[in-house]
Amino acid sequence: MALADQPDAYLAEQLRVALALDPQLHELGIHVTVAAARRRAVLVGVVPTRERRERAGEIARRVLPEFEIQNDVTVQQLAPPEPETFA
Amino acid sequence: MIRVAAVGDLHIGADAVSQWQAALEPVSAAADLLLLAGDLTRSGTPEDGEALVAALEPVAIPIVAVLGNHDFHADHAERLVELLGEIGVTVLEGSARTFEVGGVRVGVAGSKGFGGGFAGACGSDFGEPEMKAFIRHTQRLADGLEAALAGLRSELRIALLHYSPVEATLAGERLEIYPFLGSYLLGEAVDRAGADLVLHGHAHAGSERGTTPGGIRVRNVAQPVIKRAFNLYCFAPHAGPHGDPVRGPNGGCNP
Repeated sequence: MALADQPDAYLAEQLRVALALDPQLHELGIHVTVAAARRRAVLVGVVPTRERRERAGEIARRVLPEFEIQNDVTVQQLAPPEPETFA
Repeated sequence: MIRVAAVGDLHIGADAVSQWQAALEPVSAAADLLLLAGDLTRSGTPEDGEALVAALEPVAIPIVAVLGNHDFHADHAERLVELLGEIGVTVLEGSARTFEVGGVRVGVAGSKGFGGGFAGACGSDFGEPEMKAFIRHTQRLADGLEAALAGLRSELRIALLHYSPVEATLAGERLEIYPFLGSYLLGEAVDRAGADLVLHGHAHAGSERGTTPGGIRVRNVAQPVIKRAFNLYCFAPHAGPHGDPVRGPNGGCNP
């Protein structure tokens, strides 16, 4: 069956598994939306580094070739803390 | 004032070392202890372990950690514990460690914890061997946490987990995955033994603040939740006699 003929939910899960198992990424927290009729996939989430953001895009392009990949993944912010005091 | 810094879900690999070194640089001046709530590494390979050690290098205060599911993926968890031990990081699993901070004893009891779900919507120790093994793993770790907490004789007691002991700090996650995010067995263990604060990670889309059904404060310190290098929890000095554990959220630190 051609990729685009598969149900969106299965394609999205195939991509999610690939993102989770890739040795450079191992990311379970990326939300994947696939719209096969529009040949489009969207990734949303937060990853620790810019390298992993780029890797997520590469994996999406590999799993869903000929799809337009919208990589809206962002890189984590490490802001200074604001204390919570129990007095 | 006792100052406890905490963060979970660092997911460190070689690509993240320098940013974490910089982010953790201020922690030694800001806090007395640093607690790490699991998922320290990307997938627990020895290379990830080396990266983690390098990232923690600048930290001069005691570090206590539990492991998370990511740290187990590569099947090298023992090596990870060994590497952390070499730089003086205590990794807890059904065990506890006590520190003295300004004359006050601060006890940390920890476990990775595991899933299973929450009262009314959880797995049972029933059926196929795989299902029983799943729930028994959680039960065993909850029992270990309870024993470790109950054994503490410190004025301040903190429970450190990776998986969540309550639903409250999962708010924002999809309900369908709650059984993979934590277990009420962990909350029950904490409520039975008593603690002043429970810290966990794992639920990246959850919420920071909640309580156990017994009213003990719970904080989800997963990095994607707190969006900071670490959070800081400060306790006013406890006036109670030594050896009298503080029980409940209003004992000692919140008079």
